[in-house]
Amino acid sequence: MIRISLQSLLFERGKLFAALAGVAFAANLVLVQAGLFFGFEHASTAVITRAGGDLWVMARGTQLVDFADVLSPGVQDVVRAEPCVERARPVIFSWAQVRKPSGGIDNVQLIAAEGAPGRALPWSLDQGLPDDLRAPMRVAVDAADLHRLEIPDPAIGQKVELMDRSVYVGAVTHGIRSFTVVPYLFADPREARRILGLGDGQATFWALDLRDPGCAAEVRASIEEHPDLQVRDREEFEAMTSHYWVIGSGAGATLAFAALLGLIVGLVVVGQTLYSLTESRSRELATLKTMGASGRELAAFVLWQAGFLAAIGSAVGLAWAFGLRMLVAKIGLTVVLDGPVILGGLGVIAMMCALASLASVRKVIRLEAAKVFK
Amino acid sequence: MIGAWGVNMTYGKGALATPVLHDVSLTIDPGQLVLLTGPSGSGKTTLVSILAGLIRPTAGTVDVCGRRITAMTEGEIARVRRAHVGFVFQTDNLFPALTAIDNVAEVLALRGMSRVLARVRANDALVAVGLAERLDHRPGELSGGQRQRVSVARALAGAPSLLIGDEITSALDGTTALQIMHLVRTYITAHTAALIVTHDHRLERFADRIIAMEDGRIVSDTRREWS
Repeated sequence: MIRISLQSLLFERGKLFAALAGVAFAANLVLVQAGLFFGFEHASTAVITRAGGDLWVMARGTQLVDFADVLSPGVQDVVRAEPCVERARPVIFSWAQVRKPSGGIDNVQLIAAEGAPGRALPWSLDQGLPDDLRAPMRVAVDAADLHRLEIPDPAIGQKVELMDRSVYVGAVTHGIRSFTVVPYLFADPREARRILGLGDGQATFWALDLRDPGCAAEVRASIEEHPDLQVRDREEFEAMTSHYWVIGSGAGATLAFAALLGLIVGLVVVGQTLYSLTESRSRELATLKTMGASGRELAAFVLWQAGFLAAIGSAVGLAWAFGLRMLVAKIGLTVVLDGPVILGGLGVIAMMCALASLASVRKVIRLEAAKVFK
Repeated sequence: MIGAWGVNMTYGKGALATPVLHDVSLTIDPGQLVLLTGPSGSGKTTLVSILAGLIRPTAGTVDVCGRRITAMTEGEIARVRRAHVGFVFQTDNLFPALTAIDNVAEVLALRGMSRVLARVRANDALVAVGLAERLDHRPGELSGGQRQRVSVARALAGAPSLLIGDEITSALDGTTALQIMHLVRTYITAHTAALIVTHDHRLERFADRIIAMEDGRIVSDTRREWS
């Protein structure tokens, strides 16, 4: 039946291309929307993930990494007094302004942290090294933000007016963007404190590396006895931040809606094509039924076509999604197309094609064999 | 080969009930080519559909190739058709995307034959109906007569015991119609039989029996003696 099924599909080129376009469109939308969702999720939590730590200490009431009060200098004594804390690393995450050469002002997020062992901050460097930021008055800026901040290329050594202080580009990152597409500037903690006017030992967060992760609850309870502090597991804080941006902002729902629209379009186009092919071949299929073909064999006529459309349409949609990923990367958006996203997306497309074939399968199974005598 | 006893068929129920067959009984033995004739609405198509196991009679029993199909499930009847019955219809009902040889071979493959053997048998069947030069042509590239020859080859390639045909020459010119019937006639042996529904009197010369129907009843059953 596979030969009859696929040759019939390939023979009707107009219907074939319409259906393939429908599946490819749906696959592309599902993959890109899912990729954007996980890209947003990644963008919103990348700094937390990279800074690492088992626990994060922050001002009580903090909901996400982007909006947090600066902690008092005494907090470092509080966290370092915990016997289970092996290392307490300051993380500074603050809004700041850049005055551009043209005179305009743009908001940026200034980030400084002592990276966890083996995890340099910033990462993904195009030019320069993390240690280059240890020199005074150095910041790292992302390549995608150079134009926006009116920093000439090559950027290394160029002056940036940050919070009315002159700093210089010491390194250029690649692909590190915030969820809000506000530029991230990375600096050494000492430099960040100087720029932001913070005192020694001040930070927005403290990332704690524990000697034994089993004592996390104890450390958390002990620090939270302080009325101004709250403590979150790193994963918990990542989830809070990504939930705030991706779900709370409505971005997730918008992406899901676009993916759903793609699925509906694909479902209708594929369903219509399969039904039309079945309808146009109903007399031949009834002939096979007369000759003793079973309902399962007749259903295979539709299902092979659905499988073919799903496979080829998904491959085209996947290639299309990879193309779009490269395109949107130029405007700083990340589309995550890793194994789970691809497998999940293609699984959804396979289900869509199976669903689209139901009406046609029902039709062939219920074909009236005696119609061939009429 | 075929036995039908007391077959009645009524479409619809209650006030809408329309009886189309009235107490029809007949037997067809191996070696016979039987024509079933009669005016439109006489019940020929309904009778042949019942004998093929495609619809169930309201009453009566039907045997096909020694099996009582009126006591079987749909699946069991389908297996009987698949193993023992070949069909040719008024229209060729060939898949337009498949070549002549694939149209024949795919039906054989559906019967469980290996693809290689199916193509060998399909090739032989098409050669037998005079289409050796048209094996790789699609139906759209064949004449009406050639397409009908392909459908005859499709029906006969599986070596069925019984061939059922419905107006198989009505769309063909005289010469082609006679060629098609000649193919059918030569297939009939001591172990095979054919039942052909037709209005075409040109075919009578090929028949062993001519059964005429009117108003859902068999009104004559003429046996022809071959000299």
